[in-house]
Amino acid sequence: MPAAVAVLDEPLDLGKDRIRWTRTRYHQLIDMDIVTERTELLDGDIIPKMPQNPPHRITLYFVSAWLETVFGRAFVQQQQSVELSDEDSEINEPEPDISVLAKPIPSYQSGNPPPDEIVLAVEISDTTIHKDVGKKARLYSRAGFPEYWIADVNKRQIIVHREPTDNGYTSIVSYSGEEEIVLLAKPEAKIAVSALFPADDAQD
Amino acid sequence: MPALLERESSAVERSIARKLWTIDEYERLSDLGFLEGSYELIEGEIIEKMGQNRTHINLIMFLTQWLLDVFGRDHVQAQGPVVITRETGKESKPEPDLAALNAPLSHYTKRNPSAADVALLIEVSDTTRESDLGTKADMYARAGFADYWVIDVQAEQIVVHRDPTAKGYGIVTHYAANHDVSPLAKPDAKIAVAALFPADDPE
Repeated sequence: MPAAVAVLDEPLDLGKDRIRWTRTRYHQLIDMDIVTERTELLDGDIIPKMPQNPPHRITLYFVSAWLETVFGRAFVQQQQSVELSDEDSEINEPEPDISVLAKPIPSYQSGNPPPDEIVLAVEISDTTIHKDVGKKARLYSRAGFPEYWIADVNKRQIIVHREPTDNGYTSIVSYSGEEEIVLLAKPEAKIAVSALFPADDAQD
Repeated sequence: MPALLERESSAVERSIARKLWTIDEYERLSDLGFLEGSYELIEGEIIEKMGQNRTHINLIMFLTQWLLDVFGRDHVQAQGPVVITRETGKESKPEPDLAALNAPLSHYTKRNPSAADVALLIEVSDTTRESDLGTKADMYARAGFADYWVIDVQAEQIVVHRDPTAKGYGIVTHYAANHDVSPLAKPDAKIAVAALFPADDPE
């Protein structure tokens, strides 16, 4: 269960005085080729994205493929930035592994999809579970994303977050094994959790 | 990147793996004007230097005058960078409050002083006490700075670090009031701890 995942406190030593970046500055760093690796901006910190190992990549593929059959390919985007609430936008620019949009991708020509047009956000999580359970859940909830999944590759479970509030999601339920998972936006679509992860013997 | 996550030796623990900057990137950021204010690079993190309160300023002025008397004029650097041997994944370019140098400042026109050039390193610590006694002490030890003093404002002590090793300083001694402290390089010179922390504040 997600409650068992401890989000570590910030260290008391040097880290507390570290520089924080605004989104404007962050974009300048990228535009000027100072930050060249793939990153996200979370609460003013520049967070490099972890390289994807095979279980991560395969899970991303399975979850995306299923969401595309349910919503249509044009409504599902991978690793693109999304807008958050106004108060969080200044120092945050996350890129969910998958976001399901209310309108087809070509509709968003002038910017990122606004928060009220994100139907579902998904993070595929292995080494990044603390970030996904803690900081990102808070940001996505404050942005009002109605549903947020964490696909925990190590435990082969989906942690479903619903009922967003300004203080976080109030409904957090984990599903595993042959349990069926249902989409809030498409209640008729169902899939067994095990079908979203690579075969068991493929894992170490 | 996972290797960075698993590093346990650093006191700068990370619940989330932030981008770590190299010295080259840090200097470029500085040249391009991204760093407004006062910063230093410590183990890959760009750290904002805290604003100085009155106690801090007075202590630095007092110590500067004493160091000039002991080490000679042109042998003291205030809040300038010192060179730390590059450590992969956690490069540093600190700016200690004070450094007493073996050679006059005119010697350093093209490069910053490194451990071999520095007789005594001093950080005045009020709000930065934990990192000055923790992360920075380990970093200065690994770089081989022979004599590192933390002026601990809260405890009213001088914490003297000597015998630098790859794992930190071998000898750490806390000197409270009624003690005198001498620099390793100038054993005949003395400073009284009590002189740094006057007992009666007129206010």
